[in-house]
Amino acid sequence: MAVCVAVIGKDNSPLYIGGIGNDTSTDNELSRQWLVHTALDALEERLSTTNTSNTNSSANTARTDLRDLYLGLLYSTDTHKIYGYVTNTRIKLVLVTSSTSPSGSNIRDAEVRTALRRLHALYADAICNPFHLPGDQITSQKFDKQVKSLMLNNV
Amino acid sequence: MADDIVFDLLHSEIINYALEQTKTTNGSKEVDLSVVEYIGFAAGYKIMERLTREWPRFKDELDTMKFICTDFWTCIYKKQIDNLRTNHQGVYVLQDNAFRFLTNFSNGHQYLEYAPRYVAYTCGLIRGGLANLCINSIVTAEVQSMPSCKFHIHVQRT
Amino acid sequence: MTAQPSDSTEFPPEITLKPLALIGLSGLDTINNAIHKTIWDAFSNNRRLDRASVQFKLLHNTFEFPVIKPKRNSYEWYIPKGILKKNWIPKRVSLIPAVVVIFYDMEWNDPQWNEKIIECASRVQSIRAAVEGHATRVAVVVVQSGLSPPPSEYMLGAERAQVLCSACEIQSKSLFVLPHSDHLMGYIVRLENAFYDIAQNYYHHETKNIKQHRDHLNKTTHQYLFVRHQFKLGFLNELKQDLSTAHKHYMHAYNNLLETRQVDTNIHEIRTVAGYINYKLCKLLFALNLARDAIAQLKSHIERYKNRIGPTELLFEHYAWIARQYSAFGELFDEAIGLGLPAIQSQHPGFYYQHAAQFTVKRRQAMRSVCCEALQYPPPPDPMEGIVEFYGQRPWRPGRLSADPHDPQKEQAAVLALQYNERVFNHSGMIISFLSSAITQFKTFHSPRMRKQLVVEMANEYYYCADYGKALTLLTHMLWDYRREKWWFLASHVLNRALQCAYLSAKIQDYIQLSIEALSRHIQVPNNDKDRIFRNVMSVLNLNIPAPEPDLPASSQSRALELWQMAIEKEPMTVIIDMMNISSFLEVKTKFTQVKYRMDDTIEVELFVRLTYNTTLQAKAVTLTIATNTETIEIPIVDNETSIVKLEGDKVKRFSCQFKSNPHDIGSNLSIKNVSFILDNERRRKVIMNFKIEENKSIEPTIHPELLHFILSPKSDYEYDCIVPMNTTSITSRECRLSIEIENAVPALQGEWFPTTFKVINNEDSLVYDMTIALSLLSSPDNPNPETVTELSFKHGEPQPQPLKFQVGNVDKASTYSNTFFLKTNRTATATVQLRVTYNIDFQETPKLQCVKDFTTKITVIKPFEVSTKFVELSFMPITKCFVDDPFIVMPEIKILSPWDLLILDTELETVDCFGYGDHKKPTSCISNLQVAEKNIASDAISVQAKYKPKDPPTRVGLYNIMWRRKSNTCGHCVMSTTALSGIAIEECPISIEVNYPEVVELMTSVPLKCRLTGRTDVPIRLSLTVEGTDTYIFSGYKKFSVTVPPKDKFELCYNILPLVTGNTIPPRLKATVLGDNTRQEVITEIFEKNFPRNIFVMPKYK
Repeated sequence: MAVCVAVIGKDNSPLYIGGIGNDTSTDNELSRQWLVHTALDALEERLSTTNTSNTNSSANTARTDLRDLYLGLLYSTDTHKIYGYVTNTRIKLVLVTSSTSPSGSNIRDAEVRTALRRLHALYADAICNPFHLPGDQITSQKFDKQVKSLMLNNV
Repeated sequence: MADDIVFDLLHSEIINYALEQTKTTNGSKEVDLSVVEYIGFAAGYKIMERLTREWPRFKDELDTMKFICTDFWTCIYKKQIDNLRTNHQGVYVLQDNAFRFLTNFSNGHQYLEYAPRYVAYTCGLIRGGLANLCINSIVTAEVQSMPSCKFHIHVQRT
Repeated sequence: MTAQPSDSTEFPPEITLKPLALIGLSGLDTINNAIHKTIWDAFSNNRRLDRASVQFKLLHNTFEFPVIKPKRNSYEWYIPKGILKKNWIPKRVSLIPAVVVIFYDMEWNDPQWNEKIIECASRVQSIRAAVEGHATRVAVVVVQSGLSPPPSEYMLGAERAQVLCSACEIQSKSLFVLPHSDHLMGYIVRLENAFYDIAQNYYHHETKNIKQHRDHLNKTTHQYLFVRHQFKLGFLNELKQDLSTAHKHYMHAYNNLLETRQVDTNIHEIRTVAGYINYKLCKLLFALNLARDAIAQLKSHIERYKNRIGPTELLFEHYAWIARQYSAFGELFDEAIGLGLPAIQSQHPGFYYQHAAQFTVKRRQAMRSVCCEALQYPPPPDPMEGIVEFYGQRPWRPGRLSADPHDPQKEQAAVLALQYNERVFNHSGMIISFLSSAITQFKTFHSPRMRKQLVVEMANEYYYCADYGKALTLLTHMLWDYRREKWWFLASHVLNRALQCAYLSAKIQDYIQLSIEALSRHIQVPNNDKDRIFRNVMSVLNLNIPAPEPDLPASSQSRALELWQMAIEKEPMTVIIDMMNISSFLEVKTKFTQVKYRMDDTIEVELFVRLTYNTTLQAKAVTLTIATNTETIEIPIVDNETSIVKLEGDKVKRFSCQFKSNPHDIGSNLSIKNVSFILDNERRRKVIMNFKIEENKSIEPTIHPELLHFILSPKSDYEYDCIVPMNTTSITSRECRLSIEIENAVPALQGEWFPTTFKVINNEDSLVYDMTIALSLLSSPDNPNPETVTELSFKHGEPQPQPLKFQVGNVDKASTYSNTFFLKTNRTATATVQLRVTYNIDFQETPKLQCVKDFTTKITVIKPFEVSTKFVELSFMPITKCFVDDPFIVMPEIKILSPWDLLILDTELETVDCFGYGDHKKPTSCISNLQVAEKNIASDAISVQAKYKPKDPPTRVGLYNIMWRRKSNTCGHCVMSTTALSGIAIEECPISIEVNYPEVVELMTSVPLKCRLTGRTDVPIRLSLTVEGTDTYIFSGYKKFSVTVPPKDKFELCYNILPLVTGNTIPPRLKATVLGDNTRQEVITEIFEKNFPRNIFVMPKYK
């Protein structure tokens, strides 16, 4: 389903970026990082509109949507779709699907939501790891494995 | 429930342990419970990620405090905070009329002088939880008559 | 709108310009005639957007209209040679006016009217002849002076206008009068609108002409004509400003074009024309405020054509074409935003410029794969020479529709020519330009990170075209942001490229700084070869040329070597690196060991250094810079008694340095400003690594330090992370070795001059000199302004200004100085007295060091006594009110609170106005010279009577003064304490009564009971008096009678009474009832009640 999944810290530093695909070259990693990094622009824009619309009392239904941790599709490029999720602790989760693969292009919004919620649960477990310092990069192999399987699950 | 008591016992043993440690290191009578506060901080910080998972995005600081009073407190102490007051300028007072770590041993003024030992962990817990929600604060506690306890949260704005 | 770089794909100006109805103005001599010039300027200059969409062209006499082509009646044998003729639009926009307007100067009352009219008509005729064949409209404007004609000539104007119309063979609606007056601009705007109407009419007529052809066309041979005609209709409608109809026709043209058969020979023409039509469509959609449709149009356009790549040897043309589609759309989008179209972060022109850049990159890739053979331009004849009549056609085979090349050799030469041109084309320039447009847009639309990515791409382009300086500048700026957000992978990517640039341009400063950052544990370097980088740093330090970075373009390497040879032994000989702004292989934390130091303490700073790269680093010197409020000092770090500091990789080293503070710094802060590591191998070049510590630079800890306590981190040196730097400390004065002894008899009593003796003892090891002592009162919450209520003095009874200061002079080692001060206060609170002792002392290292020591002593002040008051009548019965002129007794009671025995010397009562002394002179005190002790109560008594009844009840009887002193204090002055005694209500009675009777009588002995009633008012008072007899007495006199008490006079009554029993008896009493005005009854009853005896003691008769 997903080709890349990222966990980004409160300070916008990358805590984990996982990608699947056989190509593990630097170029591939680089384009993945660019993609996730620039997704932060859209996330920040989305969050800032969330805040400003709070003051605006109209459109009640829209407001409850904005209080959803799952932010939905942030934007799409010719090749990828980028989805976002921001936790209450301001950890940002990003999921990237490929528009060129059949499994990625036909994905339903609900599936992405479920996957990101699952990722949030994995993250919540990961920071309880006594060897992990919250704010540092996540180096747990168990986490990596679980995220990779999460990404493959729906392929 | 019988298994809940294990948490209380562990808590009191940790306090005993920490007191013992400060005695051996300092040699003085000064009670240093910062280590207990740090334990609380780490626990609060980590548990917060888990507890807020199903919670919609907080509207504001007050919304966050309400969460501390209800879900957060219930999860740890199996009851809610009894009273929340605020000056709307970053000071919140949370009152628990039957604070779990005190109910076990006192109902009045006996052992009142030792009460501070039993709030350090919880102060850290609140502070850590809020820190993960990006609210830096100073948390102090006040016990006038046990088992009631007031937690004062001063939000630090930069 | 950004100017985009040109190449063959660029749209001709006639496509991009907004079509405006063309109106020719004839007969205006703008050079010689000032009025004509003003008119022309009014038409053509400063055209605002709200003016009619027309364009004016000045027609001179020599102007020639294009020759009209013979009308074709049948299309049967006509095969079009191309789709759109290049000259069709230019003709419409600049050569064939919709209207020709002839200007002619003529007044209606011109004397030479007839000649004028003939000349005007002939001008019209000549224009008519010139436009022959075109449907161009003709109009006449008569230019007149603005003066209004005399009323008699009103009719003349109308008549002559009629005549002029018929002479020129024009309709009256094509004749206009332009009065040349102050309101010229208004007339011009009206004329302009009229011309615009005529022009619309003309273009409408033209469209009808084109539509007539349609019936003659068939789809098999005339597919091109379908496109052409629809395009023309679209364009004419644009001239007519009918945008939606124009869009409809362009859409038909676009769809017709899609249906044409496409072969390699016409692909270039088709896509060129498709691009133009698409451009028109998008532009119109934006103008119609249908931005979404415009975006959809572009998307489907690209979708339809992206696979029509044409001949592979010219693949680059395909990508060039796509890039142009995107960039042109970006410009249209940008233009629309400029006109008010809202755009958002996810949809703005930047994306299209970015696509344009991406396809230009693809174009370059295609060029690299297909043009490698095209090393030379083909020999003459040049296949690119030749006139092309249609858009998108090839100069070497104009107008040919056949699918197969008619001349393979010519074709081959042409392909070679195109490939060669592509080879020499500056792709990077174009990519950079597209990127720069995109960067501006992404910046505008809140996408700082996307912008950064594009800047890095731009820097890469500069790198590809060997502009290493520009690339380096961009990259070092971007590195900053990636570092700050800790995107180390991206930072590494940027840094490695920047390092290549720094090497290739031999910029020593950048090269060293980037190399040092590359050694950071966060940065990944190619092949993980950090040793090479470290060796390079050392090489530059030793004035050797460093080894090249990997993967450098071969073409630049030798040039780089030359640059290095020139630069290596030149400036900068000292390379200063601001280490706090980069990530590096060295980390530093500094810490004062205490939050504050006393002046004579030794200050200690701890320096922790972590070298994260596995090597041995030797610094020639390490210095610590510390700023005080007066100076900045540099302290060299000493390691094993040498200034050379050796650091080992992956270890934390702790250094300590100690120093003494300067006496000037007392009360101020010291802060650590900088730690410098100096690398110097004695080869003239130095690298100085500065860790500048800024106080207010709030380092946002992303990791809460609290969490570090329990992390079982695999990091061995996490303890370093736990060190909390402390970069400021404060200096307080040295601890003074003086002590004080205070001697006094507290508590002090309110109002007394209270003596305190103090003794300052010098415990210093030497003599202290220039000692001064200052005494002042400190405020406290319960005593906020002590100096207002409390006096201090060295002399008893004489207040002195505070603070009390005096010079002591020298005090020898181990000797003392003592003195006494007095304190007097009227407030019963604790007075805090501060004694500030200032003195100088000599030390070896600091002679004449000034020391200050503050002592405080608290003096509790209490009241010596409390005074309360009782009021009694002369018979000592308590009363709550008194009557005017009726004496009573004030009894102050003094309750002694002082723990010390007191002596009351004297007391007095100063009455207020409405009271006087009972016997009209000041009585002597009954308690003078009385000695009292704690808890004693001394009662005084003063007889007082009310003089009159004041308006308000008196609040006090008077001030009660007590003169007292401590019993122990035999010599001292006495203290006068004053207390206000509370008041008593005063009543007025119309009469006063004086009753004389003995207190003690003998049994059976007649005694007189005299009663004098005095009238107090100005009216007589009539009373009915009754004697209330008792069993114990017999009496003589009237039992019941009436009396009149005269005003201000007396009335006396006398009874003889005779007691019948012994003991306490109640004598007969008089009762009075007021006759007449009985409002006074109550007070009269009261005063009778009060004055008549209730009790007389009867003794047995002496026998």
